[in-house]
Amino acid sequence: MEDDLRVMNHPILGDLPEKKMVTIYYQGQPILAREGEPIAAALLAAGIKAFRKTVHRHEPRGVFCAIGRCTDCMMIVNGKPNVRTCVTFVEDGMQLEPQDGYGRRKVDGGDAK
Amino acid sequence: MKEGVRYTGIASEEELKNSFGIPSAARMKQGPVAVIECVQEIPCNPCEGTCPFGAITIGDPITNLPHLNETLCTGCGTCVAMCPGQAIFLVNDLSEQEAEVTFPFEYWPLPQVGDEVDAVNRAGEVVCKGRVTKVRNPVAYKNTCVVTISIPNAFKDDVRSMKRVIKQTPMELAEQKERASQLVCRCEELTRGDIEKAIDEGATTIDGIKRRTRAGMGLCQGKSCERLVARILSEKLGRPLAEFLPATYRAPVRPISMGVIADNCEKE
Repeated sequence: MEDDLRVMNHPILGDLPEKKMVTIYYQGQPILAREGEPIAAALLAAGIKAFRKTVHRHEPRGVFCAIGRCTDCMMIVNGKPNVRTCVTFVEDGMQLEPQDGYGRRKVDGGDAK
Repeated sequence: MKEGVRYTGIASEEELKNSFGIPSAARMKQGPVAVIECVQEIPCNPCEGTCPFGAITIGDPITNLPHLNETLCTGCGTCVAMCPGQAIFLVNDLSEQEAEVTFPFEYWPLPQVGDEVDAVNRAGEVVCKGRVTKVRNPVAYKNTCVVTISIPNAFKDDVRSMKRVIKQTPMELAEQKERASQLVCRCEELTRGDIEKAIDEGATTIDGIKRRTRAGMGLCQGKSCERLVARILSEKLGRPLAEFLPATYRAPVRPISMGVIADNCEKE
């Protein structure tokens, strides 16, 4: 892929080894992810850079610190909001939704108030 | 700390009370009047000779403090320009809301009528906003411009000058705007401008900033902004960075769901 942001040949770590691929779903669209990689890595590799909108100004945010400190990369993962996607690993069949503001937890299929 | 003009360069309340140049509150209500804040017995008497109405008397010896005759004073402002110590002002108690203060001003660029300026007290600290109502600079004043500003009445005994008017180029203004819009606290979406405003309003610690702006109270709990806020504090207040760090820490250190604390829902 042209805009694949995965580092295929790292000067220190060498070539990226082959790995089993799993499928995650971003807004219902299937995305192939390397098993065991952070959600954020899979999304970036698929060209998705804006993960959520901020609470006050509704500005797009994505990966910033990439080590689980800044909370910029939060998404709704399997219905649970405020999940830091840079330190949460992909699982087969995972459902990802962009989060607007603080997000809402989905309970029994409906939105919690 | 010792007060007074000898120790601080600023006339103390006591010194002003004991001088002979302060008009009554009643006179201030009748129109502009000279307020002579001359508290040092120095050999100097241009005010006496320059007043066209004979309202100021020094007499003999020349080290006497000036006496103001408030009924003779018309508030013309000549003495304001002529006092070499720049110790004379005019105060005009216009209404319960508004007052005018007139002072000598020797900085370029001169303000223009209508400008909004920062009014400062005797120590040069900004106390309120003022609007320029008069700018007088006749040849006779020999380049000591006499500026009048309108201020809230409550500050008429404090305001004695204004901050210099800094005219900025469009480039400088754009740079300043860009700088002020730099994101500092990503969670609460606060900019450098927001943090600097909080410092202007009196914040001197990271906690002070937090209470005024919520910086550090968002999802990441200050992990991104703490150091940036500390640096802005250090730069703006001119104190070492180490004085501000660390800020207060409380559990939980990492974001966890409420259920983990309640222990009746899912575990992380």
